[in-house]
Amino acid sequence: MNVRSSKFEVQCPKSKVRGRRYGIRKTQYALLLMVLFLLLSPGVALAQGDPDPNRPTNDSCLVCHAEEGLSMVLPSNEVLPLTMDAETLDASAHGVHASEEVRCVDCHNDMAGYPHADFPDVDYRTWQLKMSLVCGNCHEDEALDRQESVHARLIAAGKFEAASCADCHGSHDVQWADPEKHEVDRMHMVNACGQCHSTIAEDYKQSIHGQEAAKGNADAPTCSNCHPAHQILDPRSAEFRLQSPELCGQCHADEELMRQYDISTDVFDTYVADFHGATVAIFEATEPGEITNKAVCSDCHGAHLILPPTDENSSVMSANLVKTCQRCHPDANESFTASWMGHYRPDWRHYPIVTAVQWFYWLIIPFTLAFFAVFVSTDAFRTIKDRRRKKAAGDDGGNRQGGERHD
Amino acid sequence: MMGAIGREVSAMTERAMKIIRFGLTERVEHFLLLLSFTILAITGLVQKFPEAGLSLGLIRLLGGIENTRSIHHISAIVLILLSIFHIFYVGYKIYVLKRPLSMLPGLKDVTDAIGLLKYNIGLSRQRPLMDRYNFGEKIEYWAVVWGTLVMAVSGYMLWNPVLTTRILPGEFIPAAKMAHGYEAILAVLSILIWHVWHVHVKHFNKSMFTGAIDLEEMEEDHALELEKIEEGVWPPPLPPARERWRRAVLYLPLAGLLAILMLITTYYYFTERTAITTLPPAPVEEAYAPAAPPGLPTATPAPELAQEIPKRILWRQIEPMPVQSHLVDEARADCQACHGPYAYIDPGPLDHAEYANDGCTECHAVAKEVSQR
Repeated sequence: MNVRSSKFEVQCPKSKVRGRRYGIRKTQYALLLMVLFLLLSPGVALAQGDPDPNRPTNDSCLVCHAEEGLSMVLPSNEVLPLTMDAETLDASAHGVHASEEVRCVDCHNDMAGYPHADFPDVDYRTWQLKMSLVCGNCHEDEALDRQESVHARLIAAGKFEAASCADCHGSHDVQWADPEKHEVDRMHMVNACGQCHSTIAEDYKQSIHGQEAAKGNADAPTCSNCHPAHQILDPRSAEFRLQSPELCGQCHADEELMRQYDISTDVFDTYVADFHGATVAIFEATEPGEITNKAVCSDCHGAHLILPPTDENSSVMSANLVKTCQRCHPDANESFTASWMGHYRPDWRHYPIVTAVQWFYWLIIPFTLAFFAVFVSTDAFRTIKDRRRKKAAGDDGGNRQGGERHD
Repeated sequence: MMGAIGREVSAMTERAMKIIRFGLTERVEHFLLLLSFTILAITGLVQKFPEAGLSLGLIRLLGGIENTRSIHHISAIVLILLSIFHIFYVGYKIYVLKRPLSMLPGLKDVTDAIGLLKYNIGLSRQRPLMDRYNFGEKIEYWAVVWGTLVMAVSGYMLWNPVLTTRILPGEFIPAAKMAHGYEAILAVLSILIWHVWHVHVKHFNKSMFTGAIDLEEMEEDHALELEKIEEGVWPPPLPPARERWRRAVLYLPLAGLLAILMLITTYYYFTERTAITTLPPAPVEEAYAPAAPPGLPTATPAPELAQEIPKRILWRQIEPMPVQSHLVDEARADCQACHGPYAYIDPGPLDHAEYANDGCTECHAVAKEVSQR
């Protein structure tokens, strides 16, 4: 019953995150996860493998749990509602859609049998985070990926509000994460992330990407296109910062895709060819763990509130460009902004000075080299010839001056 | 006539067959130039071609790109100081010591170049007689002057684009970058072809290090100068000490003042802040901004604190007496299992803890069939 959403995994086709960076660590995390299972919840570990067909059915749980108003008080004084209705379960991805039947006890495997064991934790959140380990029983790859994510690291550091499985996917009403595959509204994910990242979600919805995604445009990225769903890197990390231009380049360097929107694919190459991009590229290759202060795409265009340069609120719109440059170059003036060629390649009409310099060298370099080549090759030819003659003459005890012999 | 010299020197010792060509100052200048040029070329080309594996290896070796740039900048300062010194040193030699302008190109250089080419391909039997600096050396010297000028000016612009764009239009910055990169390629290729051929491969000319040159090389490359040395008319005599003193008193303070001005400009230009040294300010606000407090499992109500109720006691409020309930059959014979004060389902009050199952129906009505037992 390995439920995989394979299409979801390839949403970032060029991202090297999966195999390369975390391949070695996977086994370590698998071990860690197994130890966690054994320590925290012996029942969970036993649940792996083929499910027992005689395990309690959902109906037997619902005998009691369908009752309205059923709830309990946790040691933390939180009230945990215990009522569940069959429709919610059936409408979930684990319900009617699942290839195999998922029963209550597959997840609540320490609750089989009655009377139930005591509530195992002090408060609800601790228990919920432990319960999220159960998801990995079937969704192994996703659970392993998640161990590297910023959310998992935050939880490990004691910030229990960081997201675990059910926070994004829901619990009893769990839905597929891949909206394209299952024709769920593309904004579904944005709303899920927006539960905790509300300001960012609002920014995103106003951005050109968000506007397009809301229209149902499948080309427009949503959250997980840039922050791969389970292995979400800390976007403040050096790795993320250095990789981020490649992230944008996945779409913006794709000619076929960009042609539909009349967007130049030169943006990536011209960025890498210029000072900021070249430095970032070098940093990524030589010092991947070091933060660079050189601008990446998001420093000028914004990360979530990205608007087209024609929009009057865009940070890269010509009237707003000085302000954007001044964020890093506080003393920059209006004229300074023209030193950035706006992702264009030099041409006579827009950048005559740059183009003139370019042509000057395109002419002068071959001319100089040709002159040198002619001179050096003939000089070499003559020198060798003279020296041979001189050597022959030297053997006879003759004149040392090769060139003078014919005077 | 050349033959005569040849015969004359062949009688001398090896040591005497050398002619002093460069003084200590020129040799130190050349050494600093070769040092700064080489470092600039290496640390610059790895930045121009960062995608090359060799470049990345070198950048790692130099301790990262920021270090590489610092090394490039320091070498640039050395070259600029050297250039400033050279300008005033040449001025001193010309104005105070009244040395001839032997490096100035002239028509003779063109005819020499054509003459040598003709000689090389066998159209002429006579190698042109060349002076103190032959056309090849003049090409190299003026190429260095031109190259240093272009590199210094474009380098200044790139080092401090903020200051540059206060004076010039912004487009000059990418133009300077274009010029800086291409001029570097031109300079490095010129050195690798022209310089390496003439003073390393053709002969290994050590005069820039030892100061002395072989007579044989003099005859080949500077026959005219050698002739003038033989005749005793080269180098021309220095002006009288009195005149030199008079000119030095005028020249040195003026040159010193100008040099200090240039140094101050250079210092100001290179130390002026162009960009912040920290990360760019974050484009987004605090990432964690929950829309609502993280909730309990979906499809269930949000939690609320139940302060009044003792811990581990089930919560459901029971109105005085439930009047309607389920059957009491064999499976549900133990009332306390579900309805005891510590049980999970429909708990009873704490004071019911000790009640026996038999007594329950005395107060609590149960389903009809059972109550009629």
